[in-house]
Amino acid sequence: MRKTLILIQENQFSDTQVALLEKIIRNHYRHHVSRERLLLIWNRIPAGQAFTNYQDSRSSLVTMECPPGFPQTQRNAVLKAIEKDWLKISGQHPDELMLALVEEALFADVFQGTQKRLSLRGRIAFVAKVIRTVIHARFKRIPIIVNPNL
Amino acid sequence: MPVYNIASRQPLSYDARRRTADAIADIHCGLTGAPPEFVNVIFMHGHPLKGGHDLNVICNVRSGGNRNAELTETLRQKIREGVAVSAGIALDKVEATLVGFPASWAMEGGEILPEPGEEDSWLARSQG
Repeated sequence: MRKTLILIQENQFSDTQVALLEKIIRNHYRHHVSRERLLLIWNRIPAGQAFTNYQDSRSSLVTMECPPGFPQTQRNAVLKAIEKDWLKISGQHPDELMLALVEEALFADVFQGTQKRLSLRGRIAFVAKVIRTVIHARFKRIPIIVNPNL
Repeated sequence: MPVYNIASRQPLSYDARRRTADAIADIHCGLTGAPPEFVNVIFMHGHPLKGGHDLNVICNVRSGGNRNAELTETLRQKIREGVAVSAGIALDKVEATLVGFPASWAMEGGEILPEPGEEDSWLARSQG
């Protein structure tokens, strides 16, 4: 299973927009990258906890995992395709969206880095929170949206 | 990119977060020459950190181009010091790690990011 981490700002998108954004990522990923299962985890950042260019942030950051040696021309194609549809749904300016397609080893560094810095108690709390959120999302058939504060 | 991801045990006030984000942008742009438009800083709290630390910074930065190992280590140290001062936390309670990304793996403003050191021509192209 491949993974995608997404950071968005609180009160920026409706639940309907998030569901649509998730759908276009899945579709373009399947078309351009891989037909493997894709786990998307949305981090919704509370107001006042993110800054870009000396201002309160309005940016969205999407980091996707891909196999090693993924061709750059295909990377450009999938990033461009997602960007086009994302901006149409979100109404954001292109400067407010960062997309990355990262090979699995580096993705693992990023994905695990936020857990490795935690104490044992912190890791248990983190994993428990993610599991609770995933179960809730699966039960409700909604995207997995996490508040990053523990 | 860069994306600075900051976890703390206790919540920082909005003013402290703002001050810290500004300090990071000043240090990052001053040392690397990157434009501030690229600098993202995200805060999260309630994280029990290992090693007795009160605050931890993980930064995803573009690697390659004009950035050598010495510059990267200087950036890490200056960020650690700047964050400690602006957040009001003792230096030995702050940890910082940098993770290098190939610029060509990311897109911002509709364009694949430039190699470090090639930002001016990239900005001219993307804003033109």
